[in-house]
Amino acid sequence: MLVLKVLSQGPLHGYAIAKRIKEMSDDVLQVEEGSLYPALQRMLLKGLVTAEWVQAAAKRRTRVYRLTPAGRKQLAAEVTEFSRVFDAIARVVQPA
Amino acid sequence: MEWLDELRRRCAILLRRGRFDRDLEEEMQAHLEMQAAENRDNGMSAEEARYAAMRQFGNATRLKEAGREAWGWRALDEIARDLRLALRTLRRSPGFAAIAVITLALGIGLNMAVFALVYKVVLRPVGYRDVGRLMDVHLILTEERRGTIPMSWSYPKFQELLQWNRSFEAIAAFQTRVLTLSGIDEPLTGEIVSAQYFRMIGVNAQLGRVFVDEEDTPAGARSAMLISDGLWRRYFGADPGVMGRTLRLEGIPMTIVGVMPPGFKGETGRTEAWAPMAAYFMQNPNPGRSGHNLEAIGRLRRGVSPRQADEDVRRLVARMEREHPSDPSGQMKWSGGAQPLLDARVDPQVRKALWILQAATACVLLIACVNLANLLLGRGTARRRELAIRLALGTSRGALLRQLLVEPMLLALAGGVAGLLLAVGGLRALGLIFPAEEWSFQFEYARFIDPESLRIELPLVVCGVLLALATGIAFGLLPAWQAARADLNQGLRGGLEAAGPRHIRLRNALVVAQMALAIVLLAGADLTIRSFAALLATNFGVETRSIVTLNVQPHSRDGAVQREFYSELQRRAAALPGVQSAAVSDMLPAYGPDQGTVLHVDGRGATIDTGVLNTSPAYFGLFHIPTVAGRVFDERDGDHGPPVVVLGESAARRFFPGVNPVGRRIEYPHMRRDRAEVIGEIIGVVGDVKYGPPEVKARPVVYASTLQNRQGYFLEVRAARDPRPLVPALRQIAHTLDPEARVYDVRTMDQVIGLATWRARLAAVLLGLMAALSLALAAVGIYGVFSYAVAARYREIGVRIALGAGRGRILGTVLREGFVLSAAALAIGLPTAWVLTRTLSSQLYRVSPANPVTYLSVAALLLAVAMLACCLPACRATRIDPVEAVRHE
Repeated sequence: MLVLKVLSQGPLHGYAIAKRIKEMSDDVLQVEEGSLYPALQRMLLKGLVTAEWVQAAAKRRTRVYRLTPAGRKQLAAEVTEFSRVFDAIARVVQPA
Repeated sequence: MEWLDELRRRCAILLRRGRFDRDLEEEMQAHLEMQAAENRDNGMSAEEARYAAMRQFGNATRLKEAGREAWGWRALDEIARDLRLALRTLRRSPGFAAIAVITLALGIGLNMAVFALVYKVVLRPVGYRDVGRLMDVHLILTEERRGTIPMSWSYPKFQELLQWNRSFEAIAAFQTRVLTLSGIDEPLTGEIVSAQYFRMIGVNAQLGRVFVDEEDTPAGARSAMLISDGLWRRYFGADPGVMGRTLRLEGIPMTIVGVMPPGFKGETGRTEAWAPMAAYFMQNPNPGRSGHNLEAIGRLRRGVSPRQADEDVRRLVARMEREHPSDPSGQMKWSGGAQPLLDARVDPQVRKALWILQAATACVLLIACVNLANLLLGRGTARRRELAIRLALGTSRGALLRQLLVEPMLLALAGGVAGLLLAVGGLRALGLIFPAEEWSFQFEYARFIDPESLRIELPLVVCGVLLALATGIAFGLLPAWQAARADLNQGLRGGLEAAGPRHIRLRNALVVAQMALAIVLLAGADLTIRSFAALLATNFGVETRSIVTLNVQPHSRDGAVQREFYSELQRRAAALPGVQSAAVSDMLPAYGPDQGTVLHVDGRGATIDTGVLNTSPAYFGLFHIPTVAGRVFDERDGDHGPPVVVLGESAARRFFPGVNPVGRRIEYPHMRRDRAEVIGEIIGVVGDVKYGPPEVKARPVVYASTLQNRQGYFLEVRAARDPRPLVPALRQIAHTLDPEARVYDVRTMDQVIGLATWRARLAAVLLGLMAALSLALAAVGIYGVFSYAVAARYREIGVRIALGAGRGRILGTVLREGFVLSAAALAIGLPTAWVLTRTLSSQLYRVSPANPVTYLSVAALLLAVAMLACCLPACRATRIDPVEAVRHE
């Protein structure tokens, strides 16, 4: 969900996605950065994102991921589900 | 649809795996470099920056694998690895691989070839549209003496069937006959069909069209005909311009309107020309109510069961008989019935024979499986240590099992492919055993097998692949399971000795099973071959050497012209140099009268089912048929003499028991004068001759003279030596006498007898082949087990030799074990064979399935082969050098 959210703001390459997640969550969500890549592969397979090689510097190209319409739908669904669960948890945890 | 897209993406990536790996690698590398660069910017040293980046990233290798796994290739990767491993293992032991593939190819190939035969002859004898709803509709004649026989319809009866039937939405009639076509020398099998026929079976012309209804009404009868693809190619060079050509069919001008598709050969399986019924009957008036010559096929109405249709036809024929009794005397009872076409077109005897053959081939495959299972078990033992090490290093037993199964599956598939090729060749060879031609005028449905129609078709290929896979599992599972559950500890420690008695017992059991199966096959083959030998030894009552027979038919239908033609033909043929005598007759020994005639024997009014033959005077001398009493025909018995007949011995015994028949009278059909009965005087009795195939019980026979009665069309010529070089001269004579005369069915008498016995020969050859194969396989199995047993006891035997055991004693020990196994196999196999060969009894001629000679010889053969097979390893055992054996390992 996090990756989808980040990508919903525009196409990015892997490193940038990792950085953005870290920044946006103020370093709270620290995962093994590498595990991003298997996750991206799974999304590619499901057709949520597409990938494209882009020439970045003279000697380096980067693979840029872009959200597909299916990915956007998935994001919306996941966000809805997340807020539903989150609200429920909040209601239980916070005294009325 | 989503999963479909997913699958598409998965496959797309799969095809570019190398690039995928490089991409992932490059991407991760880039990530690390960017992180490192940032770290450096934050003031770390280059080294430190790199390590920090890597720490943060995690285990790159594992992540790469996780990435790959996301695409679900792990299983595929593993299978590919297993395949590579199996291929490597097999390459290391090419001998084993070769034996396995050859064994399997033989087993699978044989099964597929035989199944192709079963499929074509038993399961799909006709390939018509919606064939399940097609029924054979027939009359049934019951007579006291002849029993019950199916009969065809006469034209008036068929018309009533059409009017009164309620079960069929359509009924087509056809009639099979030998046709002559202008410009074509060979007589053709032709069918006269109603216009309904082609529509009903759903077969269309490849060129032109089939008959239309108008062509089958007497009013609009246009003389149209259809020809087969074969005829079109042979005689018209596949010229499309043949359409509209007019040929004379039986002298009637007919126009070709269509060419039937390749492979369509009508109801007989070899029909070459079709003519519409009404047009044909216009020229050849049908013989009325009692002229039963039409066969009928009906298509069931929807919702009507075959049983209901059968009932309906029976009721309908009962009504017919009430209105127009066929036989007012009541001796012949007429009924009717319907039977699914697929059943009607299969001879029950042939069906049974083919299923027996299929069972036998399945048996061979089973033996092959057992053999391979045994070989694999042996290999598994040899690889025990390797497998144990792999288990110790953490391979799961499941993975090991899978790996061990891949190898036999690979072998099975290779064997399957080789078997498929073998089956194609085998079918071609099978076609060679079939006679190249049958009698051109004998119509026996589904007895004739068209070798061209025996092809490996798609359903057979699918069956073959499935069979191969099943085979792989059958022979691979037990050894794989056995190897995979091996005890780690023992496996690491022991050599072959550690294999344990249990393992040996398993292998012994397999060998015993294999030998027992071989015994069953051997017994079946022995019986079949004995039966065939008995058939060949049948005494036909004639001397067949140096005789050639030809079917010669003059163009003219006029009786006087024909008589003149045949007598001149005989005279000139007999005058040829090298010819001893020549005769004509309307029947040949071993080629039988297919239907008997009911005769009235003088004084007693009894009717006896008899074969009436017409022969020329020279016939008896030519075939060396002895005269038992009186005389045979001579020139006195011509047109103007009183009608005379000669009896066969058994006819004389049945008609006139205990009395000399010479001088008595007998009433027989006189075919020349419109089938009126005439009374003939018996002038002599001759030795019995067997007419018809040897397995059919012969009828009593009455001979009439061709000089007085019907003409014979077989010319028989006895030569001093090989008669075949005479054939061109004989043809020449026929064509000099009548340029339009037809000469065909040219055969030596030995070939005639060969035709009468070919089915038995086919069975004997095939079952013999299978029995030989199974025996060879069993021998290989025994050899394998004993080689292994000797190897396993290498040290023990060495010690025993060192301690002074004589070589003879060692030999005895091994051979004794072989004997015990063979005895066990005999104890199981012989009773099984005893029971199973009962199913053969209807296929056997003059051989009882319980015949003790068979079982004794099979037992002796098996013992001999088994002993021979374990002799080799036993001899090897005696040559073991004790010093080396004790140091071994």
